[in-house]
Amino acid sequence: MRTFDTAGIVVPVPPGWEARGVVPPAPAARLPDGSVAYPYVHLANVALPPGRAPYGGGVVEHLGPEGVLLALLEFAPGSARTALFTSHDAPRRLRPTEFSGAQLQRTLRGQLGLQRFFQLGGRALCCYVVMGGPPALRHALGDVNRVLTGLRVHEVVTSR
Amino acid sequence: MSHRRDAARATDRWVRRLSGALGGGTWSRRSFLARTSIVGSAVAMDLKAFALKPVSAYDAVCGTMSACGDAFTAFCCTINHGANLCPETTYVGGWWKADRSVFCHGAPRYYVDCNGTADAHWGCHCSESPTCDRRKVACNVFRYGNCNLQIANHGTAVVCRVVTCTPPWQWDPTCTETSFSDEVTGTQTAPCLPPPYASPILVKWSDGGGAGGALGPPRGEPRSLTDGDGTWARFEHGAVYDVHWLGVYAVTDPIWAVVRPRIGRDGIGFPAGDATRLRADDGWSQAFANRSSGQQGVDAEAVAVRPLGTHVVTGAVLSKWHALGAQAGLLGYPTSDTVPTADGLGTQGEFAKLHHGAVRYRGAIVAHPATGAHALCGRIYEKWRALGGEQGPLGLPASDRLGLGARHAYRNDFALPSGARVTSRGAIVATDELGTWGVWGFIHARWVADGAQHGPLGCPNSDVVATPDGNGTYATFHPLVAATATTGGAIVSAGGPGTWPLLGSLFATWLADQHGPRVLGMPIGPEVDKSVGGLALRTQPFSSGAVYDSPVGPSCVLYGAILQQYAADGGPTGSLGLPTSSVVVLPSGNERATFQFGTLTATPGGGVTRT
Repeated sequence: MRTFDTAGIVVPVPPGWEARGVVPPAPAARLPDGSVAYPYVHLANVALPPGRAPYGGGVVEHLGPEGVLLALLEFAPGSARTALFTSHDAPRRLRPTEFSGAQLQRTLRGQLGLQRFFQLGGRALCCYVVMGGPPALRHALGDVNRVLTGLRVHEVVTSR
Repeated sequence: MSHRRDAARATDRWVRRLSGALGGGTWSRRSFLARTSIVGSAVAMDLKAFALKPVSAYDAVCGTMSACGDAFTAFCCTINHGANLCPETTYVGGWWKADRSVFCHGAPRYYVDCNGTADAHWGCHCSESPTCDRRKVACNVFRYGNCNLQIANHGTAVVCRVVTCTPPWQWDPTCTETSFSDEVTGTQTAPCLPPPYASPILVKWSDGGGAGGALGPPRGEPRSLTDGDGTWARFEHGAVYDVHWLGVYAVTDPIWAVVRPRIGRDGIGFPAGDATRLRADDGWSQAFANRSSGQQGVDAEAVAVRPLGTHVVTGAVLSKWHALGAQAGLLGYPTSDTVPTADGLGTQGEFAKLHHGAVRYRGAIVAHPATGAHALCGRIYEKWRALGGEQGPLGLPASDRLGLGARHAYRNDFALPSGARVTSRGAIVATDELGTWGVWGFIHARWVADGAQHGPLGCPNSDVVATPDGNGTYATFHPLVAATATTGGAIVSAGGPGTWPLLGSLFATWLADQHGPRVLGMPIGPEVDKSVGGLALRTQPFSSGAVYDSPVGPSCVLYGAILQQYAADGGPTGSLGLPTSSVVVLPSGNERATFQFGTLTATPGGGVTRT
């Protein structure tokens, strides 16, 4: 499998999957409104259209029953010291029973989701997975776990 | 409950009326379209459906994807009785934004998720609102992850969404600045939210929670401020001011209840910021500015503290308070408004330092053209008040608190103003050892001339009081270190040049005379120290006598004919030598004093004989 690196978030990409990273023009720099954007990575077994929202808006609406979206999102480094990010490793092996139709940013009919916050290499991250339907859970969960098992991050690259 | 629903309906009506900032008058579909006149907002508001289909205005103002099946979450104001706030048993779980929003005049519009608390039982359902916002309630178990990071992810659903044009990290301090953008939601709204390009006042009100927020329901129409400063709108618990040269800020109770009649050019000006929470969460503070004052920055600050009430600090008192660290500094919170001094030339305000909600000590700042702006607090403040404050003999503070180099030893200087000049000065000194005492007038001047607390007298340990014989005033002093026979004492004043220190045993001798025969009178000169025949002699003259203090005759009091004869004989350097006793009255009525080398006896009505 080829690997994909976005701002030090390195993942293997299963055959037939697409990976896209979004790195802010100036990582960890303030946007005009004072907020700060951080990198995120999208992997899917469907084509990833432009204009996607960090948690998959613009993609999940088009997932078929076999479609999968995996999003890895980074947060401010200081977040890694908080209760929300206390898990000291990525979720490496997800089980089918961990998914539900409620764990979704947008509870579209038939879809199943899962969200985990964790820290890795001192960086605060969120893993968000959307399965288009039960077929995806049966056939693509292995690929999802291969991505997560191979997930590595470099040391914190942002100064914030 | 019905009251809150009525409020929500009233809110919807008022939202429409306020959106009349776009034009005013009766609100209709066509007029709304004409008034917005913005293509972007037309798209955002699904205006095609609004204009062509026989639907209610409510249907159109919900924007896109407002049905339950669209799988988005309802807006909080839809399910929370009109309040654009997280409902009870929810917490702020995270936020995202839609950039360049017509709802925020081209700035980002922020969406804040309200997640259910771990013990809440919301149950997934579609909104039962009579409006077009039929989106889901408590259905998606999801966290954006950028607010309340101290709360672990316990898997509760997003109950509803708050929307603001105020950045979430300013709206709720638990939110971080970690940013996520999702433009899909940028076209979603609800009847209880401001329409596109709403007036800044309406947006401000909505960002604060709308009818369910601190401002409460609207009261009356938005109005213009006099002199063209901007516009304002009244609400049940406050007002929002849109002032051209300051910005858009809300004033709410409890500050509003106090400052309401004073807001404006003729008063404290207009709000220059929103109210900010004070340290230790014990109240609120809000700045006001008045361009007509010709000053830059803040001209007044209203401070509302639960145990102390709401008070307004202004002008030079405000500047001094901030220079001293404001509420976190020496003086703490205001306990009075800033008011004029008695002569009308200065200003003053009272303060209190709190400790666990109780007053630890009180203080004041007084600003006057004759003395400047100075602060006093604690024991010194209480003494100043007990001595009559600005109407007392000390007048106004002329220095801040000065440390005396010893633990808990402080001094404030004072001055009596006459117009812009000072006519008399004073001081209050507070020490653990001696207590807190005030000196003023000629006595204070002599004390300062003699080195104040660093001189032989030390620090005062009495106020200025009348002498026992009523012929003058005096104050006693004591050194901060151990006293000797030649330190400490008193300054005794018969007024003006007749003000002299009496050190150590000389003061004790004079005071005993004042409480006894009163033969000495008032001091008329300084202590003179010399060596006579190898013996140290201390002498001090009084209006009707003198004291001679030496190893052969401690604290000898001479007066009358015997003193005159002793002086004629050459005094201590004459043939009699040093006194070895005070003048004593014999049973015969004669007076007698002994000396190193003789005795003087005075006969009533007769002369003085030496033996």
